[in-house]
Amino acid sequence: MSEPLLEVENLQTTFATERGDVNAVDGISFQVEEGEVFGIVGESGSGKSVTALSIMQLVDAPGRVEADAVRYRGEDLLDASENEMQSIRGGEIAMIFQDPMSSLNPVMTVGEQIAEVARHHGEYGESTGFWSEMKRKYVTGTGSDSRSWRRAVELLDTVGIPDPEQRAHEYPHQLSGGMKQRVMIAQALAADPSVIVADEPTTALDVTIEAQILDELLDMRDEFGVSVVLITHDLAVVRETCDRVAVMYAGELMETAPTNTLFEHPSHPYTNGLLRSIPKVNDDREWLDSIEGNVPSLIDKPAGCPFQDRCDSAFELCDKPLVSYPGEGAGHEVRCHLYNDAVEVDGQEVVGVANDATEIIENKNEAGRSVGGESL
Amino acid sequence: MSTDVPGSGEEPLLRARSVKKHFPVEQSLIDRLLGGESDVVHAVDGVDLTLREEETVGVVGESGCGKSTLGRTLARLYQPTDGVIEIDGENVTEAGGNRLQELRKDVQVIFQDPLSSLNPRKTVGEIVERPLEVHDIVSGEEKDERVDELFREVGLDPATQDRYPHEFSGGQRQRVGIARALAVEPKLIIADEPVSALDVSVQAQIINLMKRLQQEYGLSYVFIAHDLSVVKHVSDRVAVMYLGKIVEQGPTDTLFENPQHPYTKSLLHAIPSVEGGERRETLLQGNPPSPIDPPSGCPFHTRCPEYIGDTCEGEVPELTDVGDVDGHEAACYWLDRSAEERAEQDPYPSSGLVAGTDEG
Repeated sequence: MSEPLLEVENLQTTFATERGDVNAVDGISFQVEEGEVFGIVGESGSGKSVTALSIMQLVDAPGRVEADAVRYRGEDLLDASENEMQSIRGGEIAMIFQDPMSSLNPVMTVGEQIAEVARHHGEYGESTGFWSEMKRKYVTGTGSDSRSWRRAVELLDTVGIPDPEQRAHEYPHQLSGGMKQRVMIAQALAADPSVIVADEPTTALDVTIEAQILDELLDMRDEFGVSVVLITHDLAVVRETCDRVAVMYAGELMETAPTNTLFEHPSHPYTNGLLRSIPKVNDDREWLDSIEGNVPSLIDKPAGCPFQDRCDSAFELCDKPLVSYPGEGAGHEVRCHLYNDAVEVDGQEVVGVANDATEIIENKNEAGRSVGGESL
Repeated sequence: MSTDVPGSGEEPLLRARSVKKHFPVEQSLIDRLLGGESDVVHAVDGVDLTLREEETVGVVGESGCGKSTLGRTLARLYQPTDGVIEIDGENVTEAGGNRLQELRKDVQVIFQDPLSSLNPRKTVGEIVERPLEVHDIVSGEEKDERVDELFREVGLDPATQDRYPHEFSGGQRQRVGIARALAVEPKLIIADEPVSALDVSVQAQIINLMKRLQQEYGLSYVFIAHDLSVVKHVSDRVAVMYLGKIVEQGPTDTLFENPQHPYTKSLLHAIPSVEGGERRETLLQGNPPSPIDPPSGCPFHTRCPEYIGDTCEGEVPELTDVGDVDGHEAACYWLDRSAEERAEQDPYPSSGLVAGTDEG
């Protein structure tokens, strides 16, 4: 197997607070292949956005990022200096944020913002020194015939903004929500990154506009071969855009699988619960199957599976540390002790636990540690 | 166009007739001095809606279509610009002062974002208690009992009454909002995107709660949402709004199985699904036009995948009976034409056109 583009091993992000450490991300591992759309799906507070920020090293104090490795093209980003990180951010891994209104600069034209990214990461023969940028920003603006500006206009055209010459001169508030999100995509593309991390890119949009933006993202993948890490809470968005998907809950991965496998053979009780709680257009259920209870506090999390308190199939092994078990087919891994070979299951009910169950868990745990957390 | 409730002689709980709500756009001083005519946002532009007791009508549409304004106007949080709103047969369009306060006992609202609609400086106990005081419903010990009961009713622990809204999760806060609305025992609750800010697993809890309360208290809901699957699940009837107008309405199943208006069809095609692997077709390009200067004729003609021609830009089409089920009506010129003619230029993927051409 070729080397994955992005590889995260045992990532832990902790925020120190007065009430104790919040384990926002608690030991997750995954990898993203070249040209792949990888989804991270979870509810709010599950740590999916913090995962993205941790990879980009955008977590500020009191946050602390620890990991066995965060490798991009084989290089560990944790060892990179701030300068190196700056060229990686945007240049190699770009990010699209949920709310374009608060992540675009309201006092700069959108063309200006895209041109700036292009200039800083590419060879445009234009000065990017502090004073020349200041002059561009506040006095002259980027010249309409400069290469970086032309690139900005070209990018706006690529992402399907009509009349890009004109639109480049407009400010974010003059654009609709969908247009702003397109501008964000153009900006992310400006430095030819290999990975785009999109954090809830369509959550603020209507379904009709959402479909357009997701199409745009996939077109970018096909056209430029970028990998996309799509962070979302919406399983339907995952279903129609992602190649592989990881389900996150309370800072931990519950299940990782190719998208079709996940939806056809959801294995973790949490994934099952999520899928059942969604109303579907063609279902006649009088009552939805909701998951009772709330997401646990990330301070002083209980030992073992974070979902055990809300899980209908909870049994005696649930307080043991989570390990991965193979699911249905290649690339499907479930982190739930129901799939321990020593556990006998009838439907979702546990009917018997053999004595060697704990041993299997310990062995897996041990094996995982010795190869540096063999990733999911 | 009939506003009568089909198949029943009884008076509907809520009846709105050509309700309009326009907001003036602020003018600059110079424009005002020059006496230029003030622009108007046509947020709600002639809506007819009826709601029977214990019925749920869903209102769907894209953001900016006026569905929230409609909800607030029906609750008389806004004074309608034009039209008539009747609750229980009584005209409340002009109600003010005491009558308006009385009306609040019958009509309550649940808002989208529970954090910004709950007073952050009051404990949740005080928040739920307040309507009981304002409307002088119960007092003293009885009041405390009633608050406890309301908390239990919406699935909250009465012992948490002394906490503040920020100490609760989104779903719990929405439960507080529901308890507050329930306190005065209203007949009608207008729920404005009550679950769209919540996580899916919690969303299901709140939807189930609202349905249970409806059965228990005989409530009627106007359920405003942009999520069609949720609306399908909770509503008896659905009204589809576009640029301040209802373009189609009817019994939920009929509307989803036999949509007539091109906008409804496009919306239904845009529903993301966890079932199929097929990607959605993007039938609707661009954004809705501005409600300040709505297009002439059919408001949807600028984006319509089944645009006929000049007819669409002339007169505004009226809601007319589709003819399949009582109460199913749509506002589209295709209804005047033969089904065969329409089928000839059907742009929707399910009808034989190759789906998935957007690959590559």
